[in-house]
Amino acid sequence: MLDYAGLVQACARGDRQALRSLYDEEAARLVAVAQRIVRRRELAEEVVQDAFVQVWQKAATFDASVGSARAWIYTIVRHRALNVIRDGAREDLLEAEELAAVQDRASVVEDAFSQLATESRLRACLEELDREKRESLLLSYVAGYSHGEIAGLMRVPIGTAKSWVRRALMALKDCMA
Amino acid sequence: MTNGIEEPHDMSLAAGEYVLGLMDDAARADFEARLATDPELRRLVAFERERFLELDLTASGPAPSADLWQRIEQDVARAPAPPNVVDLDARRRQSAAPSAPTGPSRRGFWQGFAAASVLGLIASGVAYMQATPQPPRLVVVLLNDQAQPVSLVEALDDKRIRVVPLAAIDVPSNRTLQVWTLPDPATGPVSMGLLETVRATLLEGPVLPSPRPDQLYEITLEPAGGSPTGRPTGPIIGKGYARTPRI
Repeated sequence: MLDYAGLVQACARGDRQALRSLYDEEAARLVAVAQRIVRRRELAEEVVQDAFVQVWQKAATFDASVGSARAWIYTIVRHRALNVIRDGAREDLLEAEELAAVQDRASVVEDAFSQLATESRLRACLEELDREKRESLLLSYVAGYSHGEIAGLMRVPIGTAKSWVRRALMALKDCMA
Repeated sequence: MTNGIEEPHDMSLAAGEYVLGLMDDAARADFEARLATDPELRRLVAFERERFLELDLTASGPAPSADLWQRIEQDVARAPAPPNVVDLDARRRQSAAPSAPTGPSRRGFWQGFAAASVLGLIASGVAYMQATPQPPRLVVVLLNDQAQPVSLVEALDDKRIRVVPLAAIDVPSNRTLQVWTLPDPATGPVSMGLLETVRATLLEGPVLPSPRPDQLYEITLEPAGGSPTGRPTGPIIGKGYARTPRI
């Protein structure tokens, strides 16, 4: 396993080979993570491009008390992707191709869930959830959906979507404790 | 549910919603401000991040476009150099939360890069010349926040220091004392090693540029095994600036 924390620290010292090592190891997967959220491949690559520049610039502020270096890098990519879609790019998608989009979402979320290792604790805990709670949670994390988007997609009031996500979070916490 | 946000279950819910990306801008800003000062909240966020990372790791796809790395390199070359550090405390206080990127600037990076390379050359030259031990080049008295001396540090050469505690220091069983120096702002704080017992100890850190007068040294309380980040994270036990002894 790559020494992610060591490489991030090396970036903080100005070592560009360290950034390259992180890129070689993670770029393809990070583009795929961003693409789950922003959908378009070229947009996903732009997200990862911006994210690596942020990793470089913010390496010195990495703080292991809020998670591992690897999780930090993925967080930066997800934040960047969420910023891109919150700027409005996806509203068109939902209106113009609603049916296709719904199927698309379902497959992205289903794909992430089904690829979890069979022995994964997270998988076991997700399986215990009601379908709508599990999907709300996965739509949010994997596809970057807001409460409003979850509500729209699942045709329920926004309060219901919020409460599904919260209950899913609480149930997961209890299950994984 | 009449509990306020202070209620523990709510905080873990908030951490979950934060990691999912479900907070609006105002709620996120509030949360991040609190995150910067609340270790328990950071622990909750770390837990959620590691838990959900597993979903990200299921993603796979073809290799990115051939020019993606070149685009990153160009942006990095234009971007401001990583923030310089002149104050270990400030670095410790920096928020862990990723935020919007700062605008690109066309100056700074290459100069910094060139200076770092020169320092590297100087450091290796110094290492070669300083193979034999000698009396301390510099002496530092580390003071606590009440301005009481807690330790003496003698910089023997470009990598070795001797630490002589001057007061009893209470170290909890799951903690350790870690000694740091700031050889130059661009490098940032560097660990010189762990003080396993509170008594005179010879430590050998990485080879650094020759220690200078006014160079900052400090001791912090860190988790057993040393700071997990490679940077000081715990409270400062003492700090001080190097002085040239009149031998």
